[in-house]
Amino acid sequence: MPRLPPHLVTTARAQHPLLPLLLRQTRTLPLALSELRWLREYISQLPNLTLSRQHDHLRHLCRRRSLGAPLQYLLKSQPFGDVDILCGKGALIPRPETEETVVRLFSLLESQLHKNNHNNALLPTDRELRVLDLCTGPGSITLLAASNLYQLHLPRGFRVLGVDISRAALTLARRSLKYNITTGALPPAAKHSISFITADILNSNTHAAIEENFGDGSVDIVIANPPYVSLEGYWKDTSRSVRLYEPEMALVPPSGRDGVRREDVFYPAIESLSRRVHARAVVLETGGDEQSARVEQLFEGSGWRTGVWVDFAGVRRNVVAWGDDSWSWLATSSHS
Amino acid sequence: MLASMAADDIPSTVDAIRSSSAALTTALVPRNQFAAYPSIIEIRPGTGGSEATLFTNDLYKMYTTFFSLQRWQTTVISYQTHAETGGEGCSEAVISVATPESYDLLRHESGVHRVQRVPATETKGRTHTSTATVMVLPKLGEDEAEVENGTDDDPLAHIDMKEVRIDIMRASGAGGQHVNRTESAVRMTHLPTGIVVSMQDSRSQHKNKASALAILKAKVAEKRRKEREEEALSMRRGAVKVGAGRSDKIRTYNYTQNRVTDHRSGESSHDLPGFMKGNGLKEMIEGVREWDKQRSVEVMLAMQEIEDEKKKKEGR
Repeated sequence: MPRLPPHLVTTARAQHPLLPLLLRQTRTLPLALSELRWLREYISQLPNLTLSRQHDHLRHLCRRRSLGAPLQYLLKSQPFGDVDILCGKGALIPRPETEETVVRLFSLLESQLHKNNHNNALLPTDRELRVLDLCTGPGSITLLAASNLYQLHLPRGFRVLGVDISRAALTLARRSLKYNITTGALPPAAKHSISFITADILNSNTHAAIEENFGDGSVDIVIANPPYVSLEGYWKDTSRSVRLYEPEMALVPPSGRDGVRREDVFYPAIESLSRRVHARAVVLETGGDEQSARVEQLFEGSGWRTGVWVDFAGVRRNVVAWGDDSWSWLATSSHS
Repeated sequence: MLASMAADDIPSTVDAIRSSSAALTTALVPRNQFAAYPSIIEIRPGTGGSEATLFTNDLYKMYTTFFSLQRWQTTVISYQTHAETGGEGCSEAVISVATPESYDLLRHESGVHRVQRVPATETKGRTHTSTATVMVLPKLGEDEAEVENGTDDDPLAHIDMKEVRIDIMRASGAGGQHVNRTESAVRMTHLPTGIVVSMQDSRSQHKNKASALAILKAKVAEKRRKEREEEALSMRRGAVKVGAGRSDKIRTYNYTQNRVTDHRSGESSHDLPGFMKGNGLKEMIEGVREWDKQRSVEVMLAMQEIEDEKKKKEGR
C-alpha cells in the first residue's frame, strides 16, 4: 500500500488527533471522519462509561482499527438492509453487493405479485413460500429475506432455512435472529419462520436435513453466496484486513474436484441440490464477470434459463436461474 | 355613556380579530411534511474565492454557537479546511442536528448568504462581496426513509428513476468477498433539475440510498411547487416580478454598515458581531417564518383565483 501523503495526515490530525489512525485503513479523509463518527456513536451508546473512559475506549478502538481490525468487528454489527447482522470472528462480514442482491430480488418479486394481484402461479397454493439460503454464514441473507418477506404479507406466509457448515457462524446467526427480534426489526414470530441447520452441502447429507425442515423437501427460491475466491485470488485480490480477520473457509472453497476449478466447486453442488428440491428460482453471487459466465453455462447445461445481474460497481455479480416461464422476470436488468 | 362603553370594546375587539386572523393563517398554511424531523445543515463557499471560505467559516461558527445556545445536540459530520487561507477558511462544513423539529426552523436558512466587507486578505482597503451557500435537509430515520415519507402520494414528488444518476463510491478491484470496505456513501442526481443529494450517514449503502432518494424526491417536489407558486403569484400581482427570486440571496451580512438584512422578511439586525455569535438569529428566522406564512396564504389565494377563472371560462 502506498504511503499516505504527509499533508493529508497533518490535515487529519488538525481535525481530530485520532483521525490519522483511521486514515491508515480508510485512505481518504471523508471516510475516516465517517468511521470516527460511527465509533463515537457506538461508544456513546455503551452503558456506564464516564467521559474519560469513553475517550480511552475510543482511542483503543482506533488503534485496533489502524492495525486492520474490521470496523464491523469493533462495532460488533453491520446494518444489512432493514436488519442488523452481528459480526465477529468465525463468520464473513456481510457485503454491500449481497445486500443489493437480496433487496433487488425481493423488490422484483414484490412488483410481480403486485402486477398479478397475488393471483398467479408464482406462489405455492397449498403451503407457505419456502426460501433456502445455502452457505448462510452469519445468517445475513436469511434474516434480510425474512424481513422483506414479512412486508409482502403473503397469504400463506413463508419460511426461510439457512444452511452452513460452520457452527461458529450459525451461533452468530441465531444470536442475530434474537437480536433483530429484540430491536423490533423482525417480529417475534420470526422465531418460527426462520431456522438454521448445520450441513456440508458438498456432501450429500444436506437434502435429508432440508426434508426434515421442509416436509416434502421442496423449495421455491434458493439463494447462495458461497465461497467463490480462488486460492490465487485470495493472496492477490483480497485486502489484508480480510485475510487477517475473516475466516478463509468463508472465502475459498476446500478443494477442486472432477475437473472443476477450486473457486467454482460450490456451484455444481448448489445446482444439483436446487434441482432436487424442485427450486423454481436460484439467485447466486459470484466473484464477477468470468465466474458468472462459467456458472451460467453450468446452469444452462442442466436445462435452466439464466440471466445476470450487474452490481453497483458494474461487475456481473449475480447469476439468476429459473425453470418455468412464470419466473422469467428474474432476468429484469438492474434499475440502478 | 354608551359611546364610551363601545369605545372601550374597540381595542380588545381589534386584538381578538388580530389573533384570530393569525390563528386562521396558521391553520390555513399546511405544516411542512418534514417539520418534525432533526436536520442536517451544509455550508459551502460560493463566489468570492478564499474570502468566501473565510465567510463559510464565520457562518459555521455562527451556527455552532447558535446550536449550543439552543442546547441542541449536534455532530460535525464533515469540516474541511481550505489550505490557502492558513487554516481559517472552510471549504465544506456539514453538521447533523439531532434535535427533533430543528428542520422546521432551520429550513428557512437554506439559500445564498452574502457578505460585504473588507476581507482580511485585502491590502488596498476595498470592500468585497462574496457568498456562501447553506443547504438544510431533514434527517430521516431508518423507518421514515423506507416509507419515503408519503412522498409517493405527492404527484409533484414523482420522479422517473431513469432520470436519476446514482453514484456510489466504489473501490477498484474485485469487490464482493474480496474486501470488507466500510465506504457506504451514495450520491444521487436528478438529471432534469440538476438537484444533487449526497448521503453518508448510515453504514448501510442501501439505507443511504433510501434516504437519499426520499430527500431527492422532497427537493424535486419543493422546486416544482415553488415554480408553480411563483407563477401563480406573478399572475396575481400582474407584471410585477415576485421578490428577488427565491433562488437568489436570502440574507446580506454587511460588515461596513454593521448590519444583517434578511431579504425575504426585510428585517435587519444592527448588531452584526452579536448576530455572528448566534444572538438574534432565532428572531430573524421567526420573521422569515411569518413572511413565509403570509406568502403561503397569498399563494393559496392566487391558486384559487386561477381555479375560479378557469371555471368561469368553462362555464361560459
